[in-house]
Amino acid sequence: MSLYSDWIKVDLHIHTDYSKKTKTNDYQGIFDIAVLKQKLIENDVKLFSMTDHNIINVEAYENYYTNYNEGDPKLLIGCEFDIEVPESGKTITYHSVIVFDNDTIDDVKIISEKIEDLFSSKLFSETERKIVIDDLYDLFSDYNFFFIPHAGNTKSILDPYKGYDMKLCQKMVLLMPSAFEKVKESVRQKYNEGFDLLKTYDFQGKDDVPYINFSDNHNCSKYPCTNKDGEYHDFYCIKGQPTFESIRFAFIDPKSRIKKYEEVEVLKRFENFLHSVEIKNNSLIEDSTLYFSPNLNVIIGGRSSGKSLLFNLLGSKIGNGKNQLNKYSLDTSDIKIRSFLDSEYKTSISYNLQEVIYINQGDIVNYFENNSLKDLIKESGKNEEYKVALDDFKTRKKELSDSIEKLLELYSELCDTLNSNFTLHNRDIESIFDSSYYFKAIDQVEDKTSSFEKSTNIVESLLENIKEFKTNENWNLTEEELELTESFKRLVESKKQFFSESQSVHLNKSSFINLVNRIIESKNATLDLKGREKDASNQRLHLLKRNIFGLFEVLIRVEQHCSELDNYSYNFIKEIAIDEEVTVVIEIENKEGVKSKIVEGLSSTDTALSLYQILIQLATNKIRIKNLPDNSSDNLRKKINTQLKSILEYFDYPIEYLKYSEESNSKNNSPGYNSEKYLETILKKGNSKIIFIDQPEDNLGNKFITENLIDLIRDLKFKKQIFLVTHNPSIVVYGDAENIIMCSNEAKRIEYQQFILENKIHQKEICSVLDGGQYIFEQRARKYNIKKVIQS
Amino acid sequence: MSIIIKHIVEESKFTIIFDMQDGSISFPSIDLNIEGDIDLSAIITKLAEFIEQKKELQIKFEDTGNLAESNPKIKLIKETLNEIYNKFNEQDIQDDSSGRTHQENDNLPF
Repeated sequence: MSLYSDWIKVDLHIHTDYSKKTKTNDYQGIFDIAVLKQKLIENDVKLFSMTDHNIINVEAYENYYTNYNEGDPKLLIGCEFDIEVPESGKTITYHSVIVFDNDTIDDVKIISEKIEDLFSSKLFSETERKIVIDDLYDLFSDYNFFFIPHAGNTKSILDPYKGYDMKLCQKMVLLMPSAFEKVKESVRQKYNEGFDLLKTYDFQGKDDVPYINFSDNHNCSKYPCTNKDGEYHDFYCIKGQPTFESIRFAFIDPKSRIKKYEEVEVLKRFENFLHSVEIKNNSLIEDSTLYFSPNLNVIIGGRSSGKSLLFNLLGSKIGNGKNQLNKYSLDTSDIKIRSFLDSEYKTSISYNLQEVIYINQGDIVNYFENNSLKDLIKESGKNEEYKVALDDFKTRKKELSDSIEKLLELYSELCDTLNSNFTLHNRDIESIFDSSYYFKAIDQVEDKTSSFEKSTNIVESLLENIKEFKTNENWNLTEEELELTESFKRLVESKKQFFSESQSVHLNKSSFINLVNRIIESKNATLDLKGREKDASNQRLHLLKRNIFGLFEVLIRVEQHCSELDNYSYNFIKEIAIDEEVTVVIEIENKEGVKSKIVEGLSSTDTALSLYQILIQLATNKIRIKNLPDNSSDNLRKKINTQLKSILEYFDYPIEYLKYSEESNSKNNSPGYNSEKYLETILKKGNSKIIFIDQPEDNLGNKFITENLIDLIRDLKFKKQIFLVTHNPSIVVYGDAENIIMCSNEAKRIEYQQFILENKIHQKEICSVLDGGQYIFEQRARKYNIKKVIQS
Repeated sequence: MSIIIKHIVEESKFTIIFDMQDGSISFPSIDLNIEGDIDLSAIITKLAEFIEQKKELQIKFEDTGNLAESNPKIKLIKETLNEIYNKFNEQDIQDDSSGRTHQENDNLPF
């Protein structure tokens, strides 16, 4: 038997041949309890009841209990009553199966006697037997039993109440431990709408009225046929051990605990979930083997009871890098683990990164505090997009570094040019106006070196490409096309020829001018002193102007670059969509301006000045670089490198936050809200198969836990295997944990035990370690607003 | 809108006045002493500051005594300055070239 709550087939409505005593021609064939038992075993039914019409087959029960062996299907005492509603004025009855919390021969005899006494007192013949609901209450007031009326086409509980008081019928069902039998799927929603009208708003729309079907078998040799010779019965399963308490839990929480067998089959996934862990010979932990449900496993216990130890132990055994087992300094080499696919225990099992979500206690709040959502990105399978984003930021950083480097180079050039001598000497002016003469040099023709180079490349590549074009393997050219290509080739060749000639003429011209200027230069050298001085003075004037013109070119480049940096913002953002609702934003925040950081490193600088003006003032020594002897480009480099260090570091550590909508993100929401959104987002991610969370309730609001998280867990646990360490009873009880691992610490020995919710002894222990556990159990049992139901 | 640079020509100096034409406080004027060596650094630095204004320079000379006609040194200075301003305007390419001072100064009088 499974140590956690697993699905079992139940059939609480099976007839024996005693039904023939109370209903004419009711049972078909010959009843044999041994045959029925064999059929139940063959069909893997774990819990059943023999429910004859208004009578109990004591002999069959006695036979079964006497021959009962461990592992046989569990038999609960039951009976199917004809129930009359005399106040309705109708003489018709409806059928309801009553199943008792009893399973001994003595109980069978007592219950049977009570029934027989009742009918004897009413002087009913065996075939006229019927009962009213008040008799039932009176008769079995000391017993726990389930009331499972037919609510379908025949002998339905609705029939006597139709036209009389349907609300009365509905209230009775809501107030009793009931389930409806024989209701078609198609009409269940309609029934629920009727029930909702009686409930307060908070209790509506929960689909928590249990519906279940049993075989109503009347022929054991044809079991599991329905009725006498009907179709093959589609079994229903409940979750838990084969006990009355499991049925109670199933009727309290049908959504989580009642399913058709075919649905259970679908739930039996083939994922490689964790199967069990075997702990042996450990210095701290008692020997035990813990088996894991493929659904929700919760780890609970008092303080220092080893909850997080087990959590981290499992993390370590599946090779998850975020486990913190090393803080326990524990030798775990003898602890072995097994997945559902493993045939034997292993030291560890490997899962892919994306298959496991592993969240340590406090991780989520830390993620937001540290502005790092790497884990969410990785566990959402978005690692590649993340790398691309980070690479892009590196590129941006390099661009900024290059831009700063270029600024420094330009500053160096600016210093050199702006601080040149821009003096027109009086002596030169006098010399220029002197009456002596000199030969004026001829202006050189335009320098066309780069233009010629470019044209040469075009022509050469065209000719090369024409050749490739003609012989390319990916296409063929027709004769006409070949001719066209040839014509084009000839055109290019003719232009090449023309260009070659022009180039030659230009070079000759240039060469000739150089030759003439050399002659002029040599002749000027032979002039008298005044003439030579006049020549030199004119050359200096020419040079002065060239220097000034060159300065303008430098200034233009400096200004353009400064303007770019003045407007530069490093507020770079990359968004990685995690799902339809949530996006991780990776952002480099433009916390400090580049210019203002530079200005901080300079003395008494007007912050309103542009970067260009600042450089001009630096180059002309109108402002100073702080703490450095002069404004040399080397000193400016040192200062700027110091000043911009923090900005460049921002590129290495972008902040990461969640965006919920255009207006709402984790930066403008509370840590609690962010934790909730984070958890919701990561849990919904489709890639993961196994989820580990140590105390998810930390930093979460109770409202979120009860309204969102539990629903999420209830849905997810049928898709993923979940391990939660928790103190929150709502998560355990309303989350309907299939497996509860109770941790305890006695004299520094850790012990792990497996509990289930539907076990009453376990319930007490669970309540003892979970604050408010008792209350939650009671609340769960009280599904509806009973006061409101009664008043209505 | 251009920057008006007005030169008041005297025997010993050029007084150079700047009008940004944008309502801002004008720069202090510059006195270009022309008696001995002509140091153009002040005017060049000023032009450097104008670069980012991305405005054309509009040049005016107020030469009431027609000194540029009678004094070859003043004429040379005026022509040199014009040449510099023109180059500045060429560097700082504007939408509209109207108002530029285009004077051919390459042909010096010797």
